[in-house]
Amino acid sequence: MDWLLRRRGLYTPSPLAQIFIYFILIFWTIVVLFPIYWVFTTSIKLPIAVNSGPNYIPWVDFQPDLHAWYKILIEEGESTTFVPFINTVIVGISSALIALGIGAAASYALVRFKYKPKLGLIGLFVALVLLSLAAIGYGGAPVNLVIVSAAVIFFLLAQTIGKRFNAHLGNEDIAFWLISQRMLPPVAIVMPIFIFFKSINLDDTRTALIITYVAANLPIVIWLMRDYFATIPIVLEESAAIDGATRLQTFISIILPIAIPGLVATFLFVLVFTWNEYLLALFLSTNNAQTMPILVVAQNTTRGPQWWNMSVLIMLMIVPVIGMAIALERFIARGLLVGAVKS
Amino acid sequence: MAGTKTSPPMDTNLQRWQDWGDRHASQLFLMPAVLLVLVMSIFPLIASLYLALTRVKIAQGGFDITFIGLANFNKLIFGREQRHTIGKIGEPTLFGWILFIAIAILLIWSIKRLVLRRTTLTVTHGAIAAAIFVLIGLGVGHFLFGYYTIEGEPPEMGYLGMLAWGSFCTFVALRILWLAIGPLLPGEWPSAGPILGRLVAITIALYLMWITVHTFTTLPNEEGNPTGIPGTLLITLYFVIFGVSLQYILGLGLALLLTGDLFGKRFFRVVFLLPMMITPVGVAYMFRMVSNTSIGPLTPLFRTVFGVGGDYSWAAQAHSARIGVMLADIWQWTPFIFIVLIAALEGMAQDQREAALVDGATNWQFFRYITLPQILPVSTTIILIRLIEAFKIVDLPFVMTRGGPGTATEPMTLHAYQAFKASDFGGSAAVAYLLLFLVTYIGLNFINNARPLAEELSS
Repeated sequence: MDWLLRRRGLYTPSPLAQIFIYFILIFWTIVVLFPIYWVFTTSIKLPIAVNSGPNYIPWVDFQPDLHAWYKILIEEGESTTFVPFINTVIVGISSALIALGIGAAASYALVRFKYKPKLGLIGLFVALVLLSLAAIGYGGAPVNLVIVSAAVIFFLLAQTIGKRFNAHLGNEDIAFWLISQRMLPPVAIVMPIFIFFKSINLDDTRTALIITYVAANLPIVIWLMRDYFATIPIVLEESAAIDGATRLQTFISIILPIAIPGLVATFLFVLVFTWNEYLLALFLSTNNAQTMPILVVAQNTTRGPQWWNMSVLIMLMIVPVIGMAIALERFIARGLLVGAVKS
Repeated sequence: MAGTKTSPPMDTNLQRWQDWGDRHASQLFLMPAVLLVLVMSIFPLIASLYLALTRVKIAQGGFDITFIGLANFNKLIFGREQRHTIGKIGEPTLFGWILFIAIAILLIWSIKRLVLRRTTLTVTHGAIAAAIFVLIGLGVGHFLFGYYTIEGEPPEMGYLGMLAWGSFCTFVALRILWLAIGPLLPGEWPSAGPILGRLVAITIALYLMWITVHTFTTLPNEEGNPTGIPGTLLITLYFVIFGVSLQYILGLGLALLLTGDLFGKRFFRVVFLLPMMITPVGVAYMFRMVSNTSIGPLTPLFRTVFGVGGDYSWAAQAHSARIGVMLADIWQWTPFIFIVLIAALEGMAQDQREAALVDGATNWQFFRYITLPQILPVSTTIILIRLIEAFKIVDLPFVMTRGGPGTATEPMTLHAYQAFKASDFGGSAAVAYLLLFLVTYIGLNFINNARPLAEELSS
C-alpha cells in the first residue's frame, strides 16, 4: 500500500495524490466548459426545445436545428449582425495596435531616458487648468479665448517663475501617474468624454471608441511593457548608437524585435479587454458604432429573452477568443507576466 | 541625450528632421502617452468634479449649470438619496455589535501601536490629540454636511458619519494646501501626514463597519424581513471583498495543483484560461441560462436537493441574487489569478524546493515555508490589480438582475449610470467620485498594510 502514497519523483506526486488532483482538475474543467457547452446547444435548439425544460444531448434529447444561426447570420446578417461585428473587430484591433505603439514607446522611454519634470511647472499647469475652468464655468468666457490665453500665460510664466523651483519628479513618478490611471472607474470620466465627442461631432463613431479604448488600455500596456524592456540588456543599444543609428532606428530595428513575445501577449490582452468592453461602448455608441456586447444585451426583447439568438451571438464572440486563449497561454511564461512576477 | 553624436553635414531636409527628432527623442517617445492621458483621463476627471459640484438642468437651447457646492454629495450621503447610496438603517443584531466592537478595538490598538512607535508622544498626549482630531472632524463635518439634519434630532447616519466625512475633507484640504505651500516654507518641517492619514483611514473604516452592522446584519421586523437594507456603496464592497478573496483562494488552489508533472497540463491551462476571455455580458446571460430553475440544466438538482420548483427564482431574493452575481464574477476572474500564480510558481527558485523535497518536508511545511514566501509579493500585486478592476463591476449585475431585487445587487457604477439616465448629471458624477474615493481608499490601505504584512510573513 505504501507505493500509493509515495512521490514518484521530485515533481511527480504519489498515485493517490494524482487521482485526487485529477478529480479536482476534471471537476473544474466541467465547471468551466459546461456553461459554454450549454450556450452552444441552446444555439442549435428550436424555441420549443429550449422552453420544454432541460434537454442536454443533441439527437438524444432534442433534434438540433440551425434556425437561430440562419436568422442571425443570413436573414438579419446584413441589417443587424455584421455591422456590430465588424465594428468590434476594427475597434478592437486598431485600438490595441495604437495603444501598443504609444505605450511601448512611452514605456521604453521611461526605462532608458531620465526625466525631471519640475514640480513648479506641473503646479502652474494644474492651476491654469482650474482657473480656465472657473473662467468658462462661472465667468462665461468663450472657450477658444480662454484656451489661447491660458497657453500664452503658461509659456510666459514657465520661462520665468517655473525655472526658479528646483524640486522635480522622477521616472518612477511619471510611470506611477500613467499606470494609476487604470484605477479610475470609467464611469467617472465617461460623461465628459461623451460631451467632448459630441461637441466635435464624433459621437457614435468608431474613431471615438478607438480613441477612448486606447486611453483606457494605455496603463496596462505601459505597466506590462516597462518591466519587459527593463530586462533587455543595454549593450545592444550602445553598440547601435556607436554605429550611428538614431534612437528611433534603434527602437524599431533592435528593441521591438527582441520584445515580440511581450508585445504579442500585451496585444492579445488589450484586444480581449476591448473585445469584451461594455460600459464605455454603452455611453459612446448608439447606432453606427454599436459593438457586439451591446447587440447581445439588445436580444432581451419585450417578448422575453430570445435565448437561441443570444446564444448564437455569444458563440460568435467566444470562438475568436478561444484562439486567442491558446495563443496567450503560449506567450504567458515569456511575455505577459514578467512584470507581475517581478514586482 | 542631446548632442552626444557628431552629426555629418546636413545636406537634406530629411536629415535635418532626423537629427532634430533624435535630439528630442526623449520627449517625442513619452509625449503621446502623456498627452493622451491628459486629454482622455485628467481633463474629463476635472470636468467630472466640476459636474459633481453643480446642478445641471436642461434648459432652452442647451444646459443650465448652477454651482451648488457639496450638495450632491450631501444628498447621497446624508440626505434624500441616502437609502440608495448608504442604505436603510435597521436594528443591528448581537452578532453585528460583537463584530463591530472587535474590529473597533483592533483598529484603535493598531493606531496606538503606530503612533507610539513613530513618535515620543505619551498616551495622554495621544488622547488629547485624538480629542482635538474628533472635535475638528465633527466641526468640519457639521459645517459641510450638517444642513440636512432635522431640527432637534440627531442625524440619521449618526455622528460617526459626520466625523468620517468631515475628517476626510479636512485631510484632503490640508494635503492640497501642504502640496501648494510646503515647498515655499523655509527649513525642514516634520510631516504629520502619515499619522493623520492613518487616523482618517481608521475613522472611515469604523464608519464603514458601523454602516455594515446597521444594514447587513439587522434584526427582522414583524413580517420577517430585515429592517436594514445595504446601499450601493456596501454592495460594491461586498462584491469586491468576497469576490476577490474567493477568486484568490480558488486560483491559488488550482495553480498549486497544476505545477507538478501531470499529463494534459497544457490542455487544463488553456481551458482554465477561457472564462476570462469571454465578454462579461455573455457570461451574465450564460449564468442566467444555466441557473434557470425551470428550463436550465440544473433544474433536476434544484428540484431534488433544494426542493424548489419552476416558480422559484434565485434573483428574487436579495441574498441569493448577490451570491449568484458573485459566483459569475468568480467563474470569470479566477483564471486571472490562476495564470499569474502559475507563472510565479514555475519561476520559483528550484534549489530550495529540491532541498526541501529531499529532506522529506510534508506538503504543509513545503507550502508554508517554501512556496508561500516566494509567491506572497506577486500575490499582493495581483490582488491589488483585481481589487481595482473589481470595483468597476457593472455588466454582470446589470444583465443578470438589473441591480434588483430593489437595489440588492446594484454596484456604484450602475447607480451612476441610472442617475445619468434620469438626467441627474451632477448626481451621477458625484456617485462616480464617491466610487473613486472608495477605490483610492481601499487601494492605498491595501498597499500600506498588506505589503508590509506580506514581507513580514515571507521573512
